[in-house]
Amino acid sequence: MNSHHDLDQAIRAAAKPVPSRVGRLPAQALLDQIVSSDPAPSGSRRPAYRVPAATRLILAAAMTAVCATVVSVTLPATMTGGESVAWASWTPTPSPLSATDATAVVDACLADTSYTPAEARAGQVVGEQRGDYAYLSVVTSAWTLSCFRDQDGRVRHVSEMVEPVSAAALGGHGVELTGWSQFRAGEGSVRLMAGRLGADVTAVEITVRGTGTRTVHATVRDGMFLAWYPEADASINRTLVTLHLRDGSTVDDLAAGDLHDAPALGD
Amino acid sequence: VNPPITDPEAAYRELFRATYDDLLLFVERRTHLALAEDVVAEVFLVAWRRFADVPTSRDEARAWLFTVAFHALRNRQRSDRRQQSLALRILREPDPRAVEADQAAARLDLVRAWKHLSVDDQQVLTLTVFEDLNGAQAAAVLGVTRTTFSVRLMRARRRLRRHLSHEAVPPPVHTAAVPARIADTARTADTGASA
Repeated sequence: MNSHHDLDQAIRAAAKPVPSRVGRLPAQALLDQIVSSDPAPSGSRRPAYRVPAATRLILAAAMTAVCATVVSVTLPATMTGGESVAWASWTPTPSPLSATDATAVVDACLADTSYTPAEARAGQVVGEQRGDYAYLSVVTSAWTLSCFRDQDGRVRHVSEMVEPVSAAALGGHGVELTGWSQFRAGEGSVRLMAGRLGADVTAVEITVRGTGTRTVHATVRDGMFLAWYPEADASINRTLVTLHLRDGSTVDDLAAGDLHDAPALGD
Repeated sequence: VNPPITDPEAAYRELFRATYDDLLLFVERRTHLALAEDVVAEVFLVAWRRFADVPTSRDEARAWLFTVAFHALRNRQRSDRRQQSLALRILREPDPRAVEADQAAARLDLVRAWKHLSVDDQQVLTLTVFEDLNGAQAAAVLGVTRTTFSVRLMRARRRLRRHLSHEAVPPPVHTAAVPARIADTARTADTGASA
């Protein structure tokens, strides 16, 4: 059972087969009941046509919570334009997140996961605020979890990673990217980064090179860092990480995508 | 631009017939069997009311329904502790290729190993193996990035293999994911930023 295919086949072979039920009476009764009901009971009848494929892609990206009512779709801003309206309050330098806010975000975020408050209490929390948005990471010895609070107050867990690298392995100037996710927030797509740092790292700068160049300052605390930025089109951006060390030197231009695949371990 | 649908009811009936069994199995793998039909009814009603949002591709429509079902289940689980952290059942549609008797022992080992996995591991494997979703579709169901899903899947497979080779490991104790406040404010008291 060396390949994924073999393992998947073994799992399927172990499963209990269940007969088809779509032809049975309960299914047919349900179908008849549904199609005889009003498709738009709220009064805002939807058009019975398909939305264009491009629009559907945006809808699909926004479907992390399908149960939420999607009234309108905000088109992604570009890196050089459009953000002045969509992300007006976002700042490249973070401000502290209050303890009250951090607790509230963690609270709401855990409800979206299988982790328990007891597990979270055993870890550490680092958070930041950029304008109207809050972002934080919960780091335990077994897992890390990142959570984002949008402008409308909605909190969602945006990334998690199990089995983070040990502090010993990170050494003095190592870095592990535990979160590297693109996420669709209310005003468009964002790139969220979270990670753990070696003991000698005092600051982290993120450089985003796309149609222009942008520098984002990360929150750094207790060997962890956080940063995020609006990112309309990941395909044109190259994101680099610069570590500032205690002795004044720097570790320059680490490619974020590479760090997510494999941490840079320090001395 | 996709062509307009001239007969939405007929199109919906076709979608229902094509996906009902898969959706019912998706739900039955994740909740009490007695509740499964209620959840399926809820999901198909959402699909009827939001039919314009349902993708035209059958494969993508199926993934869309799974995503709605996943959220419906999660909402129910939040309000009903009995449903929290249920292990996933390994159920599948009938397969004409019958499993040979001499594979029974291997099946037993696999079932035992499956029980050692966490619910999260069972979840990613089920989405891939039984629900046959691709990485992007499965990531959308869970609300995580495709990369995150790939990492979880890789680790789940690794752990299942490990359990298959070490049958003596005791099953984990599943703890309920109960939303609650973080009492230890000392841990979250200082979340200051330094740039």
